Amino acid sequence: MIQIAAIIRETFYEAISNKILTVFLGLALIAIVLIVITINTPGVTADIESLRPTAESPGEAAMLAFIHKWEFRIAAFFYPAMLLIATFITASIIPNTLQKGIIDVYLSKPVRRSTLLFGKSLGGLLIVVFCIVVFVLSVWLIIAIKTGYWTSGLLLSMIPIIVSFASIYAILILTGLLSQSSAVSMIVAYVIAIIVGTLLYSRETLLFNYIDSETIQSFITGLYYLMPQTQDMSDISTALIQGNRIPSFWPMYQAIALTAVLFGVSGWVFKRKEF
Amino acid sequence: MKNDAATATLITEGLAKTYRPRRGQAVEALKPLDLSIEQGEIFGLLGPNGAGKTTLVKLLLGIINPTQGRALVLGQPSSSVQAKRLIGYLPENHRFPQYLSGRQLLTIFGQLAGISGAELRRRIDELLGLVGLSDWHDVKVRKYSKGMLQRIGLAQALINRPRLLFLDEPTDGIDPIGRKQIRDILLRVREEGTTIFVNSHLLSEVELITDRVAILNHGVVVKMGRTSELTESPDEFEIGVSELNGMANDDIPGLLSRSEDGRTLAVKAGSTAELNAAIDVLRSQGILIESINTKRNTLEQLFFELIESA
Ligand SMILES: Nc1ncnc2c1ncn2[C@@H]1O[C@H](COP(=O)(O)OP(=O)(O)OP(=O)(O)O)[C@@H](O)[C@H]1O
Ligand SMILES: [Mg+2]
Repeated sequence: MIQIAAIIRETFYEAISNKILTVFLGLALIAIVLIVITINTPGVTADIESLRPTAESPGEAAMLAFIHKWEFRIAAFFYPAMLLIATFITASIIPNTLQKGIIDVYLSKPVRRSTLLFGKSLGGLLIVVFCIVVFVLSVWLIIAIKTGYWTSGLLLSMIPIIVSFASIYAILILTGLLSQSSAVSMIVAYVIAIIVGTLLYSRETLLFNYIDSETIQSFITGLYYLMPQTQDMSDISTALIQGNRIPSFWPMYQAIALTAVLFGVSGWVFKRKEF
Repeated sequence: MKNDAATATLITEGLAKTYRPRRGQAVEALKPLDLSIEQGEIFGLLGPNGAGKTTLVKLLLGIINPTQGRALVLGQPSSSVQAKRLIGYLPENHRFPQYLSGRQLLTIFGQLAGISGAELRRRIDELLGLVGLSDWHDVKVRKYSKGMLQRIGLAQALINRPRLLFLDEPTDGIDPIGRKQIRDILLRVREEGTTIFVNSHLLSEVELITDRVAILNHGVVVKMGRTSELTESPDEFEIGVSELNGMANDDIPGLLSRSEDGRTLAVKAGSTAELNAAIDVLRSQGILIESINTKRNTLEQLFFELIESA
């Protein structure tokens, strides 16, 4: 336990020194300021006031719809951006740890390799979770204070985005171990999560127009179930924000299983690796 | 093999490593090695670049896996977590996280070694004192000089009061004063009963502190023994004289060589009688004897003889 805590703390020191946290929180601050300014412009303020329930129209539906629309727009823009930035800032964690002259010191300590890998990975995940929570909580507070409505959708929508990041991060860890290069693992993760993920997501509406062979179609469908389903996860986020029924929980389970499997493979690779 | 597993701090049995790179040829970096290191000694592993010194230490720490054989530290497989509780290690060309201060570095590696709280704080203060970095504890490692990096690295390796300390080229790139500081620290560490295993190609350095050395070349130990015995030539003496009064070399029994100023004679004498016979000849010519010493070779001379003959 002390050991994992020490590794996590070191990962945070690293993030602070790399200006990772500063840059992320700085960007978040700029975004928050922009949101505060926009929401307080006379036009938006008037909209909000006009939506307040009155004696004549006591319904809250209009106000809630307004809040959901705002939260959805913010999430639609910032969640993908956060995934991109989070991938960028965590890609170096494993390659840095494996550097010659430092991995030797780690491995000379009475720490299992699996513990070391787990601590480093968890440290990176916690940094990202911290950043997401800070940003989303701020946005949620701004909207709640301005409108007087304390809805839960935006807060809940953090869960799918974090789980979604975990599966991308698991790819980063494995490729980081194999390539020992943050650039390579970042590119692989982007290609898989964004390009491949989007193509597979739209397989029925897009790919299958060009592919007639049923074998290849089922192969592509199989691939879809194996790859991170970033789009489906953002559909879940959207449903949570808008208070709609969640289309399917399967992408969530898939992401958790994928993260676990990839992490298991990473552990196996790391255990056998020589430095 | 004698049963020294009980007393030895470190033993290796047929430990060997062949690197098989994906491209290129296999490298037999270490041929099967049997080694036994006793509690409390300073053991030096010497060898030219590429001899396999780092390979051996990495094998002992489980950083790489042996092709065959095994190693035990106080009876435990040396790469096990249990053994590592008893081990400290300072790698060659280490690169500690630049963003940590000396104290943060020692705290993190101390906690990784399983120490925490007040005990860790006390140990860190003690070690910062030992390595002379008490005033620098809050400064980032990035700003440390090479000698300071080496000393903080040493403190890091000592954090868990190891029974066995591995040092890979601890004085490489350090100035003479820094080297002396490191030697002094090591001697103090040894006084506390820690066994020290040091890799080096700095021969004069090693000679100054080691009790026993092994010379490794192309993955094979070509010589191993007590440092004092390896550097001693029991049948050669150096005789310091006043002046030779024109005596010819041939007149002096057993003469091997004469220093340039003619005032130091190297003499071969298989026994005390032979040595005294030589002295008698010198005295009979009225030459004054100023000193007599057994001749010592440096490790460097031995090293060159062994490596060149290989
Ligand atoms: N990972 C590796 N893959 C292939 N060959 C290697 C590897 N590491 C070391 N070698 C080779 O093994 C041999 C021994 O290397 P090693 O680093 O153990 O030498 P050394 O005695 O520590 O040398 P130095 O004094 O330069 O530190 C060398 O020929 C080296 O090229
Ligand atoms: Mg070496």
